[in-house]
Amino acid sequence: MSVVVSGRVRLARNFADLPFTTHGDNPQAQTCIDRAVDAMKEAPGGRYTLRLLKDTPPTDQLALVEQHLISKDLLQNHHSGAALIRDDEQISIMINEEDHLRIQAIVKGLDLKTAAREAFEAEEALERIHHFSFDPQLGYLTSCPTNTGTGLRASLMLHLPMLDRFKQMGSVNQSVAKLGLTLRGIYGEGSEALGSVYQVSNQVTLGRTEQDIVEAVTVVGKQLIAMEIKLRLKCLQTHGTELRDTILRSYGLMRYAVSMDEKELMQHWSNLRLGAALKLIPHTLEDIDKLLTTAQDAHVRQYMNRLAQSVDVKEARCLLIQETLTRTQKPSVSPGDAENE
Amino acid sequence: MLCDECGKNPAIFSVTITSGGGVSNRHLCAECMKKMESSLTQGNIHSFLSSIMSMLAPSQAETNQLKCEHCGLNYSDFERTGRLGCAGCYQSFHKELGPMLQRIHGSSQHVGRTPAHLQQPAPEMQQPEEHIPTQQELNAQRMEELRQKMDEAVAVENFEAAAQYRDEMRALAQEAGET
Ligand SMILES: [Zn+2]
Ligand SMILES: [Zn+2]
Repeated sequence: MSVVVSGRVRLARNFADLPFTTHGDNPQAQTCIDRAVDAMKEAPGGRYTLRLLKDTPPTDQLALVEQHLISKDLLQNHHSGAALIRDDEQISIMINEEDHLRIQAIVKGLDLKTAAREAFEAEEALERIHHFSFDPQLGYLTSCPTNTGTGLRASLMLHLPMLDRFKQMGSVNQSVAKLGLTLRGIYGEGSEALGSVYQVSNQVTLGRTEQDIVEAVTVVGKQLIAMEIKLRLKCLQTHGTELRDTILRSYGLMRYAVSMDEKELMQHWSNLRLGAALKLIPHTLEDIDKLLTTAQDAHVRQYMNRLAQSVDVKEARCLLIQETLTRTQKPSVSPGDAENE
Repeated sequence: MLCDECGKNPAIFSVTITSGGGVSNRHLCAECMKKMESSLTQGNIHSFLSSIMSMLAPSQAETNQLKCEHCGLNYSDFERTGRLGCAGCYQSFHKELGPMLQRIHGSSQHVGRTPAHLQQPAPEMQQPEEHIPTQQELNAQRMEELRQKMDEAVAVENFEAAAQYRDEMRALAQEAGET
């Protein structure tokens, strides 16, 4: 838990009797939405709510992206894009993205097997009436050949600040690629990985079973976690003072800064998360992880609209962070007290 | 095959680069291809290369003519967008997509889950009730097998074998019709 932020399993599926999703308005896009809604009416595991992009304000759309409940790509299909989101937000079914359906299950920790089971449960409900495109040789047929086969993408979101700091990502990347997996930063543009948040996922979807894919991502995830934790302990021993200083300086900034952009947020967030993992700050990992979503732009804008004062996004971000930190502070420990744990 | 540029994503594109007097061939993933295209349009690296981009596939002229009979998508559109038009495209562009899938995934044979309605429960899904296939289902299965074999034979231009499979299919269809 101190390294894994979340785990996800995503399935790409298309209805056999409809052409693949095309951009813009078309009658079959509505068919996809109707079928999914129908199928999930009595689905196991909870109630689903339909979100139509065209009826969702832009800020709220982006907030859904920040929660990883929908993808940025879905926003391109503004007219026809939709998502069925289970009320506990553990499952979301994107409709009319690159494929008719993208079924996604999210778990908190490493347990991708549970995520896979949940995703398949939803998948079975969805295919009860209308069959999916499937070919005995090529498996599930998808709009892009990179997803053909299982259509399954398993991923772990990992916080790897020490691997970053000790410049290990390059060599790690290469060995991960050899296994048909890929590792990339999920915040920031291009090669930067803001906040040292990475995603390891499978690249290959054809010629491997679902179980093998889930297993491979889990195994590599575990190895990365072990490497990261080893470096953390080593760093505590050799550069303990420097490390505590870095973390608590960030903590001070997060508690008292008045204006902060997203890039700076990610830098301090990363230090806070490391601080929570090493028990150097009086907050749980869970609370800090929530900030990763709630302190992003769209969420801050939603928060801003509820504020009485008029402030800009960067100021509102600081107010939100400080409110959260005050609310979630554990009473027993004060900053830096737990350094010997 | 992995991308020559980033070394992490599978290579989908083959790019011929002419620089100075030499010609070299690079294999790129979609991401790096995009980067390269955008840097090209911005004119950043054109001093160093004027390039011809092409899919790693049969000759350009040949594939340009291809069209999916089911949805009407041109193969060249797929080359441009990376998106297929319908499930039938996998058949229509069988010859081009086969090697591409092999390159992306290192395999061209699905070994995972099969939809519930096509029987054979997936290993982890517990569906214990044994289904005994009817003769009709067996025939359909055999038919599908033969169709695939015929397609494969056609793809490698083994028309003699393809004709044999076709005859078998005819016989099977006739047999099924009689019962
Ligand atoms: Zn690349
Ligand atoms: Zn087609």
